[in-house]
Amino acid sequence: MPPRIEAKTLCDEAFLASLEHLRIVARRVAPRGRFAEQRSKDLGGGIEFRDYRPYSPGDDLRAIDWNIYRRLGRLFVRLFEEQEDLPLYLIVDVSKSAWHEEPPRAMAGLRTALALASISLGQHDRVGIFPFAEDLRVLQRPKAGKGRILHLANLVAGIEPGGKTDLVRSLATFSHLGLREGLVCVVSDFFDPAGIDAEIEALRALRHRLLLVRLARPSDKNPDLRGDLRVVDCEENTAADVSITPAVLERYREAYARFDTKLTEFARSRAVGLIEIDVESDVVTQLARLFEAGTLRV
Amino acid sequence: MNFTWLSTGIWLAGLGALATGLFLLQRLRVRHREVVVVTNLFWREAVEETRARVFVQRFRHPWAYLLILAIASLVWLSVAGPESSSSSSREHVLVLDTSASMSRGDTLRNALESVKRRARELPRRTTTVISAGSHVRTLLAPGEETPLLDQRATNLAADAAPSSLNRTIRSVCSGPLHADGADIEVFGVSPIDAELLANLPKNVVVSRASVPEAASDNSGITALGLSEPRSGAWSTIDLFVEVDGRGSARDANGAARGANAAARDVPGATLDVTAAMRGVTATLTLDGAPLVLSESGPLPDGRWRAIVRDVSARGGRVEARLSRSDALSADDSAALVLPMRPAIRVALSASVPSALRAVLAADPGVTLIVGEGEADVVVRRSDEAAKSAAPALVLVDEAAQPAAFVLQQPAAIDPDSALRRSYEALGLDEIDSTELAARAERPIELDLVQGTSRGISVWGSLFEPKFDFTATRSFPLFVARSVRWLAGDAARLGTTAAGEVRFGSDTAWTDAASRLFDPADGEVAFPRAGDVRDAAGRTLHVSLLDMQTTVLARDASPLPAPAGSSASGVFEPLPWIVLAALILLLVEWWLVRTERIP
Repeated sequence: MPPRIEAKTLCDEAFLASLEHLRIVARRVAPRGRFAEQRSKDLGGGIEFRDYRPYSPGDDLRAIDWNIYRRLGRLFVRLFEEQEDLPLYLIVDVSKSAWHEEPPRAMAGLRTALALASISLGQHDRVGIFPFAEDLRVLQRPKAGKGRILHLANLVAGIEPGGKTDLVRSLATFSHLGLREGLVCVVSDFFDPAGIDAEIEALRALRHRLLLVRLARPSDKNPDLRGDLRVVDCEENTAADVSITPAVLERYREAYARFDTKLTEFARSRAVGLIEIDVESDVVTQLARLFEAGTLRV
Repeated sequence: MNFTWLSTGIWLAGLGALATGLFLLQRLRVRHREVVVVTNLFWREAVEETRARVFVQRFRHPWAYLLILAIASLVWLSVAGPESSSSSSREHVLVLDTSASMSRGDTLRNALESVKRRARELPRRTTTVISAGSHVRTLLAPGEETPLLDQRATNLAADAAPSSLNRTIRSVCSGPLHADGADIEVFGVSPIDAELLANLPKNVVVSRASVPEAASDNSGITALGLSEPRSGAWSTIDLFVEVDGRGSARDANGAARGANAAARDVPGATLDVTAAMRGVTATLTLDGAPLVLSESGPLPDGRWRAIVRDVSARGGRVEARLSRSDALSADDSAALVLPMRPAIRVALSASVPSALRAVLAADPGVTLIVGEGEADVVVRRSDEAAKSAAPALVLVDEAAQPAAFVLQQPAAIDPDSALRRSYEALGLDEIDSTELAARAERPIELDLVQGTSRGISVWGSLFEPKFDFTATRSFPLFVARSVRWLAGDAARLGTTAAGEVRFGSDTAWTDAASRLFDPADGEVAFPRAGDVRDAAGRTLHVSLLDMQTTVLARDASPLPAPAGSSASGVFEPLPWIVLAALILLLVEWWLVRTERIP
């Protein structure tokens, strides 16, 4: 059993301060959200003028543009852009593999999730946290409030390591929650025994914007293994006997490249954000580099 | 290619076993090291083909197998001790001369270094190294590693002994030799008999390696001996010493000038050959006191001889010593122990013939006494009762004894040899036995019987006038020698030389190193100079007294020219095999490091 992660280790003042200048901006958020800072598809009582429409009874008389009425003799009401929130749903991988190596991928994954949560809460967006392993569970339903970040950190610190990775099932469970369209951020290594194709199909079925945060380390691509080995999967305990030769290593790299290409192609085709986090490096530094001019557009 | 330790068949069988074992090892299931990873998704894809490496499936790494087989073969080859076959067909015997002539300065050490160098050049399987000094000793047997030679030769020193090269070469040639013959290489300065070299087996070649010699300036005592006194006095003895004192003073002509030198020939305690021999002086002492020389002078071969006459034979140690030490110390001194020759007390019975009584009375070495109690020898007739256990000369009736002379002595190992020696010792060879047989009308025979002590039984009739034996010149000789023979060993001369000189003795002797010298056939030889003792505590000084050693130690030029040339050096494959194995190991290491082989 890996040691529990302290909340202070995941999130402290310096961590939060380093994220203050980062923003997540959506092109348009789904209507009927809470008032916030994201541009919404709703037109109503915002500040920025967006359009006109003919007056219909019941409209607010204060919205009638009397200048147009004087020129055209018809009543039009001014429409303003609504600013609403972008719910952020953090689906975080806490399966056994996330805790296997040192430093554990879970550390980087949870810190990334908290970083994104902090940014979203700072924009008055609601944030929900859904850790998953064999299945998804609700750790925190979507809620807003800047001061909630420390509460979230404490919740995240209490997460117990899970079992096998089953992202497909977890995403199906998430779909059944019936949440308002928002930004689904999947934080995982995406090493699901079902395979990358099944994962992509499950992601494709989500009716949310997607941000994929891939937790990786250099040895994933170039494993530092030599000799005659029995490679045992830490989650499933399945073994593969292998005598590592240059040819075998080359085939491994080819298999990994296929996995990588499929995930990247999916992200590109669906305009999905795909972020790769090196779990052996500082998370905030990597996020800051990935946020262009401090802004991540989704 | 030949192998030192293994036969070719065994080596090939071992190689086959290695190849088979390595092949099976390559085909055996691999014992995998377990590694837990985050996922083996990609490994399962990658190892789809590598799972074929299980027992009795296709051979996966032929190049790795060939490489490890090559390395194992080279190691196995080095274990077998390969040797080049071109030079190992003949047997090589390196003979290191460790006789006294090699004791000059660093001569032996130089020779030993030459032997070591040569042994390293020759194939080990067919090379033997032996040292030839007082004993022949094997320093390196065929097949042994040359470091053993260094170890065994650590305390090797020259023996105070004459050269044994001839004996050694003869022994090597008489032993089992390789079918292709043998090369005997001599490392030393001692000469080898030309006759021996001429009669060598045709497939044996004797050569002499060049040995750096220390500069020498040697003089030595070549002889120290005793002889019966010219005066005839029984209780005295004549003593002589011979000195080769020419040393390095030989002039360019190389001729010994000693014979014509005007040496002082004045009797005295010192043999002074200064004028001829450039200051070499020999002193002769008896129990530390100088002896007075009776004569001294040059011998025809250039040596000098001094004689001391009528030295009292009452024991005592005579020592000859050169005044100046030189490169060869073993011949700078010699010693002997004088015999004890007191007058023999003889008791005669009243019935003894007058002729016999007269001869004994005239013998200066005999004292006639009355009564047998204190007698050393008794002379009586057979019908008279013996009153003591002393050895007796008994006159018996002719009819009672078939043989005219019957000798009695303790049991001998070789009775025939003992009879022959006794025959000469009694002077019977001087008797005209034909004349006696004619007068007796029967054969005159000699017989030997065993008894607790010595005794002589002789026909009493021989002393009667009809035989006329008492009137012959051999009669007093027979009587005198019989009395002395009966008296025992006290008359023996107490000196001998080292080497193959035989010393008459029936008892065993022991030297300072507790080495035992047993007599054979009544004689014993002492291989090296030094004092030896017998069980009775008597001391015998064995001196080098070898003129050849003394002369060679000064000038080895008379040695015969080497016969044949030395064998050429050989190619030693072992270092190259080990080097090749190391290179292949490096190649394997590089291949493993670069992941070209698992």
